[in-house]
Amino acid sequence: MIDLDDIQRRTREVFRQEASDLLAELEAALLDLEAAPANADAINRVFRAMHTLKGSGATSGFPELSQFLHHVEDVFNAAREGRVQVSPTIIDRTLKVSDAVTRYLADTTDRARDILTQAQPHLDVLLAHLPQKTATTNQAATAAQEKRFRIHFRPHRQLFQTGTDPGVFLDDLRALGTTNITGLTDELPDLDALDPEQCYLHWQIDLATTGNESAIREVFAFVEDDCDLDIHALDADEAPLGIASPIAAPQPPPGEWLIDFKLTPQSLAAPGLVDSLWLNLAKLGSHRVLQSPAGPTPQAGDWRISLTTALDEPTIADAFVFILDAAPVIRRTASTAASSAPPTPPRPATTGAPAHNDTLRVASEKIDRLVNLVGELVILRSQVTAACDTLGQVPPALQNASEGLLRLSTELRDVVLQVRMMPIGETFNKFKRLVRDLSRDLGKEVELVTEGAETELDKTMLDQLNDPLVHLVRNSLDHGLEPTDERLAAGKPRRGTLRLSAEQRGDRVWIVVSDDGRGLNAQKIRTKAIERGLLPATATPSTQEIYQLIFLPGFSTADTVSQLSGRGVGMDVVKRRIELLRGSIDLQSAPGRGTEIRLSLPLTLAIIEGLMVSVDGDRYIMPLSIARETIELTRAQRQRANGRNVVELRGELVPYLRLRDLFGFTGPAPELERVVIVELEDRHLGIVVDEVLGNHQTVLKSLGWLTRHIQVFSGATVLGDGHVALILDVPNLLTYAGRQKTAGVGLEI
Amino acid sequence: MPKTVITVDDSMSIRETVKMTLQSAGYQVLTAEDGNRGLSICLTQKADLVITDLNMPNMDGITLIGRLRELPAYKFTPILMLTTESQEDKKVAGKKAGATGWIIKPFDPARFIAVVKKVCPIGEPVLV
Repeated sequence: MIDLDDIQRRTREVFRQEASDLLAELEAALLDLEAAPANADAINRVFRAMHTLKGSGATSGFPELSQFLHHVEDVFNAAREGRVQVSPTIIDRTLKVSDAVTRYLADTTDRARDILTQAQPHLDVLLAHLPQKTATTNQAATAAQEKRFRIHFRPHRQLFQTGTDPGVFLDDLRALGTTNITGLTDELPDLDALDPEQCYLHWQIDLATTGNESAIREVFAFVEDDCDLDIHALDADEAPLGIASPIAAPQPPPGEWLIDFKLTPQSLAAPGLVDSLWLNLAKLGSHRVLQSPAGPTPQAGDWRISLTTALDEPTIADAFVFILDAAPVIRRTASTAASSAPPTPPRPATTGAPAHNDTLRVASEKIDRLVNLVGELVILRSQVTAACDTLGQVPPALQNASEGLLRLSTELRDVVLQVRMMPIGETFNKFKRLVRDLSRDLGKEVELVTEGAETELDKTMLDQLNDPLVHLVRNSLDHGLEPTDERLAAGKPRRGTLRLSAEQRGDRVWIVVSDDGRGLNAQKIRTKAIERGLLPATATPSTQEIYQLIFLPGFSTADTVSQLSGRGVGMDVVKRRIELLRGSIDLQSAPGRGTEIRLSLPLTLAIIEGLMVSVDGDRYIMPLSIARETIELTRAQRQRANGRNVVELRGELVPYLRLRDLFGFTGPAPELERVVIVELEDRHLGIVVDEVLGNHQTVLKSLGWLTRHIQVFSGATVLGDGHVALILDVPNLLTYAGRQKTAGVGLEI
Repeated sequence: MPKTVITVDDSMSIRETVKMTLQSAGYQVLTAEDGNRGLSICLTQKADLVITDLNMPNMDGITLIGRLRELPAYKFTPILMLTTESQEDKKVAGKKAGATGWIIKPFDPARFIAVVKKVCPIGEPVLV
């Protein structure tokens, strides 16, 4: 039996998910519209989003939402047709409406409706913009008295071209009452002139029904324009109806069935529904009512009937098909069951599997679990490979299996990671609203430009990026971009520009937040830093170094604590958050010209493609994406360079860093060391190791809380043989080395 | 052999509702989010019934109906359009393009199944 409640529940859930996408699109379209109020495309987008929200809402069990949005849709429909001019008020109020809908959908309590009620004033304002429209009148229903009609139904020749089967209308008429149907064949041409794709038949139907003429016309609604239909009521003294008796039961010996079912007030309220049941039962055979309900409402309640028919159980069940809550229980009575074949199993509610799905929404924790499992699988795979290597001579079957496992697990990893990748555009879009609202509050004119919306990032990463980005955007709006008069005085365009861009570079994504505001004031930062004891008064740092001070905990430059930023969450928090994502943050500023903050983030948090190296017997992994090549470094070469630590690479002098020196390993260095040439921010640098062991696909495990202050390693991984290898964070390694300024690490960074 | 229904709608809620409702009634249901996608599914899989929304991106419902009617395999296949009350003109255009009938949104599952059964009966003998 069909569980309508369950369908409804699931539908509401699906709708909630869809609605959040639609609301985001609505908001984006509204903001585009605000920028260009005559933009037909944006009006269309607003209308479409509103239309879908309304239509889907009504179908998904949110009728009040549908009613609520109905007039807003009207406004934008009128705008589409040029009857209404989109004004800032309309946009503003529609945004408020969209906010109310968001809150309404988030609220699963009984109070949800109140949210819509409270938003009514916005609706009233919107409605005031709508041209007056005429109300539609309801058609009154006519009383039920059986009347007789003669109907002549002549489909047009091309009826079949619309995929229509004229038989369905005859069936519908049968459901309305008692019929006598005569097929008329007089227009059929000779066989050689007959076009089988045309309809030559027409019908005369005499019908006795309690319905009225409009109910009959309703039957033919689909073919209204594709047929000639003539309906006239028959007077009592006109030719009597040759009403045919119900179709006689077919030939096989009839069986006796006992059917229990119930009729609810809802099904009784639907016109024709219950009548069609009795009619269907009459067609199946002869039935007798054994028990009818004695409740207050006539017919509503439990029924038991007996039915004599030669047809089988599924066919009988079909008679109940329109009365979804009838819950019929169909049993063969004992007397006939014994002599007959075993009863056919009940027909399953659903036949056939859903063959095709466009998209599937999956809870992200399920995918996280999948990623973890794949991570474990990759480690296990490495262990198998390592075990094979130690065996030396491996049986071919094992060798094949091991290689197959390698191939499959690599592919599986790629697929799973791809599943988690999401375009950053959605995150960017959220900022349109933020920038709009904040710039209004601040009385500044700001244009938000986004670039690289299609750049994909790991879902987890995107989620965790949101807060830091909000903070950066707020900072730019609050401190960076100047008020209009100040901009004009400085000879800059009236409107400030805030730019959000994303770009993939190798296995990292750069996200840049930049503005063309006043830039950082180095003098002010310096004074503040000294005030707060973050910088010795005697220090003479470079401008770049002064800028870095804003990333120190407890630093805020706002003269007054505004409502936007300066709420105690400083840039240090942003920096820490980005670093937790294995990212880095970089700031550049030019006084009077603006500030640019660049975040560099890994594509994914889970797995990296690494290059395994060894130093003094320990193994390390560095990201393969930054490694360009490896060259040899002999002891003689090293000594000849005279402690300057540079190596010549095709005419270019490349500085290098010896991990041996950096980590303080004192064991004997091999005669021949290896230099891994890495590329960082368009510069080549060398990392000197003892040995390069090869590519290694690495599942990243974070180092944990205890070791969180260690910056030169971004994590660790478990190797095939069970040992742990640390993962080198090369950019931080260089920073660290620069700070160490130890002998032998004279690297200019 | 279950009857195959292809439902084309840019609203996921509608697609899912149509799908769940018709699956519960014993139909096999494929979904597409716009006319283009719907057409390509129809080309690879013969549907017994196509249910399409009218207002969709990429290819709208009326174009889809027209394109389907040009295909020999879909010349006589029932096609229902999903409309709202306010789309009377669209309904006429849809009929002109070759639609068999329409279903008015929002729909009640029981009525919806009834209309679908009407144009695409699921089993024999055909009852009402």
